Amino acid sequence: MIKHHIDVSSVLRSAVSETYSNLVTRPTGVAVRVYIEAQIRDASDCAVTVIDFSSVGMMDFSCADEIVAKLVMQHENGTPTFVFSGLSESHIEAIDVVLERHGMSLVSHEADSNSYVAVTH
Amino acid sequence: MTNVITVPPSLDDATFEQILEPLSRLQPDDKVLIDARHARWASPYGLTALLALAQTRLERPSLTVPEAEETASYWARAGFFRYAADLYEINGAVPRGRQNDPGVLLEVTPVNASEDVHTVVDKVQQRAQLILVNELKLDATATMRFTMALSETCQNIVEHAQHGGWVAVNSYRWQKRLGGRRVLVIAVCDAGVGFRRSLESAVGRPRSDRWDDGMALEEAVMRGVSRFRDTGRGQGLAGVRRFIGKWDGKFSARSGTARLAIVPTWDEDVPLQENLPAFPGSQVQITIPERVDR
Repeated sequence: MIKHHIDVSSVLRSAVSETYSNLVTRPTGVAVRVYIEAQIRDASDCAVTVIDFSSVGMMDFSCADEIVAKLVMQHENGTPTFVFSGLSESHIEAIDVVLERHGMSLVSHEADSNSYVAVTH
Repeated sequence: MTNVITVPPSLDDATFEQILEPLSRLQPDDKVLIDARHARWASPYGLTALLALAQTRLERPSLTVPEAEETASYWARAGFFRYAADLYEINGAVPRGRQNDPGVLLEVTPVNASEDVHTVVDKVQQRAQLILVNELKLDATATMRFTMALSETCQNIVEHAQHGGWVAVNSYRWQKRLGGRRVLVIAVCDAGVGFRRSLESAVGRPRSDRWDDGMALEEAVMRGVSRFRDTGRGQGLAGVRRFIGKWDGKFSARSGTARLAIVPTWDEDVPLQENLPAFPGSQVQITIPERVDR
């Protein structure tokens, strides 16, 4: 299966500012999501898109909502499947809070790996 | 006629009410002199709220600099005079604030746009680790949560105030309270539209019999209600509240004529105060105490 890999830190630098390393504020989240969606359209033959947060410093609730929750919701009935990787404990905490509000939660994608998918309750 | 309002010797979120009480009886264009000559100490809330106060006046107010050299010097190192000089007619000598103060994690910083929130987060991240882990004895993961809380609280200004505001973060040791423990205090103050008017701007907001500043604070802070229809909105302050609970910290937000507080066991504040002197905007304070093993 072909996987499409997106490094969120690179997207942040390309879409918003070369100097930013943290995913904070809603406008930043929107810009990052829009950029990711354009990349997804360019790789429409991929069934799985890995969204890699390993080089991202901090992510606040606004960015967790704009990037993770909205991406998942907008592609709820179709492809690709999103796998979120490289998540730190604080990333997971922010994502969990926002997904809960949308009736979803993060679950481990593969045993013993730091990758997750969002599922509806 | 100039109306003189005396700054109490110790200026924090509680004693700031002593300034707001006489201020609330004045018209917005009345001439005001804020007399800080006898001030000896000010919290981040005190300093940022003084700047917000000046923004509410139609006629440029005056401010008399603290007489105590140590106090004036601290206010300068905290970055207060840099912005006060634009908002007040300053009476008295202002010390230069070049020397860094180890307790000032983030000097008074304006928050007007999203870019300012990035700047604030980048500035505090490295030093926050030192203070939170070494001084407050919190675990390393607290740094990320702390910066998240700071980010969300500052965004509250950008998204809802319709007016710029101020943020400051200091750490200091309480002399009398909490057995002399260290605390880290975040203050975010603005003179914008406040919680009630922000929520009132929501399209199709259901009307209720009771609707006032207190209820608006409860809706926003306790129930995560936002003026936006998007169900993903309104999670910021509610998420901050969750973190505060984990740290045994205190959260308070004042807006209009009400003040809501999430009160930990070590504090004797009241959860909701109403009928306070009216003051525009919102003034938020977060206090994180040093952890002690019980």
